[in-house]
Order: sequence, then C-alpha cells, then structure tokens
Amino acid sequence: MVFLIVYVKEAHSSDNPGSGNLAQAVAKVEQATGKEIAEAAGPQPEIARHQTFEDRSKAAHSCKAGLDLELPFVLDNMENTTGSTYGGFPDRIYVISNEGKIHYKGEPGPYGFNPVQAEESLKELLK
Amino acid sequence: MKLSLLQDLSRSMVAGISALVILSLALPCLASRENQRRTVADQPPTKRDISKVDVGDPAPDFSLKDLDGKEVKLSSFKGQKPVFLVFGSYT
Repeated sequence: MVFLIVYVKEAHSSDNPGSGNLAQAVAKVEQATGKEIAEAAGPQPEIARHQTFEDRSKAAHSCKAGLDLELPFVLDNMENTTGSTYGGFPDRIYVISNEGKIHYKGEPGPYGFNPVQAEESLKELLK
Repeated sequence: MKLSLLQDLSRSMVAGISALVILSLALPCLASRENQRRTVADQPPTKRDISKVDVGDPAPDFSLKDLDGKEVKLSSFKGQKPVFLVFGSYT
C-alpha cells in the first residue's frame, strides 16, 4: 500500500478576500463541530496563495513539519493539473487498485471527505 | 498523541486510516467527525464535482515532485501496490 498526499492550492489562504479565507473557515469549523473540537485542532496556519512553485513547496514542508507527518507528499504543479483532473480541491480521497484503476472516489471536501468510508473501500479491495 | 498516529499510516492500514480521521480534525479544511457521521442527504450542498474520473476508470497518470524534488510517477505503482491518494492543503 502506498500513501501519497497530493498537496494542492491552499483551501483557505490568508490573503483570500472571499468566503474561503482562514478566519471564516475557522468560524465555520467552530460552528459545525463545537469550539472544543475546533480548539483541539490547534492554532491555524496562515499561508498566502502560492504564487510560485517554491511557495507551494514551502507550504507543504510547513504542513509536514507542523503536523509531524512522515507521509510522502507530492506537489501539484502551478497549473493545478492533477488537482483539476481528480477534482481534488479542496480535499478528497481516492483509492487506486493494484491494476491502476479507480477503486474508490470520495466526494469532494470538506463535507464529502470521509476517511471512514475510504477505509471500508480499502478493506474491500484488500480482501 | 494524535500526531503519533499519523506516523503509523504507512505501516498499518487500519492505523493509517485512523490517522487520516485525526488528520481531518487537524486540518480545518477537512471534514469533522460530525460531518463523517452525516448521511449525504444531511450534508450541505457540495460544490460541483469537477473531476474527470470515475470508479472503474484507469487512474489518470501524473508525475509530480516530492518534497525533495524527486519525480513520483503514479503509474510506477501499477501492478505493484494499491495507492491511497489524499488531496489537500494545510489550510
């Protein structure tokens, strides 16, 4: 089993003037989950929209370090080609079979992001 | 504690998926536990699905750089191992 995190453009960049900015996202999380869970997520990072591939790389490094992850990350290109093809923005899970076919396609996040459902799919694949 | 679970992701499928549940709490852009318990009908309308792939389709290949600048090609795993792909960002 290979795990890959495909790092795409920021879902809630700090300089987004619209409804997707970080403060509004945090408020939505608090509203949806209760303050306790929102606070458990810890202080939220402030990352501006990636202007360059280096910005994206820095953000991914920051994510990996900030969450203390050892999972392999790959970076989508600045044209967001892979994210667009897979509809991976803002977040999404896929399981790809040994034969290279889509076995599980999660719904788009945030509401469709469902690791529990993905786990069931994975168990089925590995039977 | 919760982050230590993430370390197990590549070592154990079950632990790995559990870690992803934790990850979903850690990243504000990802769904909450509460959201995961909701049925589709309960959920707010989602954005239009712009993906170009569906279950059963060959996974579109990509070749992307990892954090060390090395190319990782999805098709290199074909016939070798299943791939658990997670799209997302820190925010």
